[in-house]
Amino acid sequence: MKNNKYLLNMGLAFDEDRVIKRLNKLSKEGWILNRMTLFRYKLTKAEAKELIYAMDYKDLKESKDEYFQIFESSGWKHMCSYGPFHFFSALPGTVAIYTDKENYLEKYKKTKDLYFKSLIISASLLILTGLLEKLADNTIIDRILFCVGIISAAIVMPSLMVTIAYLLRGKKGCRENQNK
Amino acid sequence: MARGKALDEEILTDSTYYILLTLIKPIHGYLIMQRVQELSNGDMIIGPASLYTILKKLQTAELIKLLDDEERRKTYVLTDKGKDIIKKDIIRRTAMVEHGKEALKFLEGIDSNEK
Repeated sequence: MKNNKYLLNMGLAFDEDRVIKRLNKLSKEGWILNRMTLFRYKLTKAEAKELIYAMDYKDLKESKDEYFQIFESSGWKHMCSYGPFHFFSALPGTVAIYTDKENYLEKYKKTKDLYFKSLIISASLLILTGLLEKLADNTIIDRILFCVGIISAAIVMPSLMVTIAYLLRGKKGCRENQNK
Repeated sequence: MARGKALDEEILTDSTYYILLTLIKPIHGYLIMQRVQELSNGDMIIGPASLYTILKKLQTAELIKLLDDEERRKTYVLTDKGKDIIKKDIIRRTAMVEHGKEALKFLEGIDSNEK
């Protein structure tokens, strides 16, 4: 019998809600989150019981222990982290990890800003290399510029997609709040 | 910067108000949520991500300070600036409630006349 199960990591900007829903559902079938990597989520076999998951985005420096302790004492068990992304699980009915609108929205603003920065930097590099290439007649410089251009182009697209995903999510968030 | 925006204006959100109320005496960070719930008879509940973020903001704005820095059991308390701001906000909120009471009396008067 297989003891591990994997979910594809399609980027939390695009499918945080989907991943959370899947994890909630899988807990009832006896699978719990064990690890997150750039490409996938690893789940291991466990006792089947209903859990709810939550993800927080927070750059933790020196107060790591305090952060996890605060979650623990309100019933949220730390499952795994990947960089600034932290996953928690709790029993149904546990108080939500964010109870105020201001800080909830800030969670998404911080991630959006991060990707927006990488979008601006890679896009300016791309434009700059394009312009310089026109001027360069030396083949070595030309090659170097070409390489920088390719790398920038490779970063521009995902950054742009993630930024747009967050902008759309922000709009959705605003509408949801208006409806309340 | 968005950080501590509500704090600069010295108008506290309800969550921040209740958190500051628990900090008049030194308290461990993780005990604040339970204390707020007791203090408000369960009307105000604060989630861990909100609490952690607000604590960091209050610390940056120097409304609270860390007492002893054992990594896992951080203890916070109000600074003088924090005491000042919470006092002002209690007075502001009390005044708002007083204004509301007059309106409530008036509205209830209308209700009982109609019956």
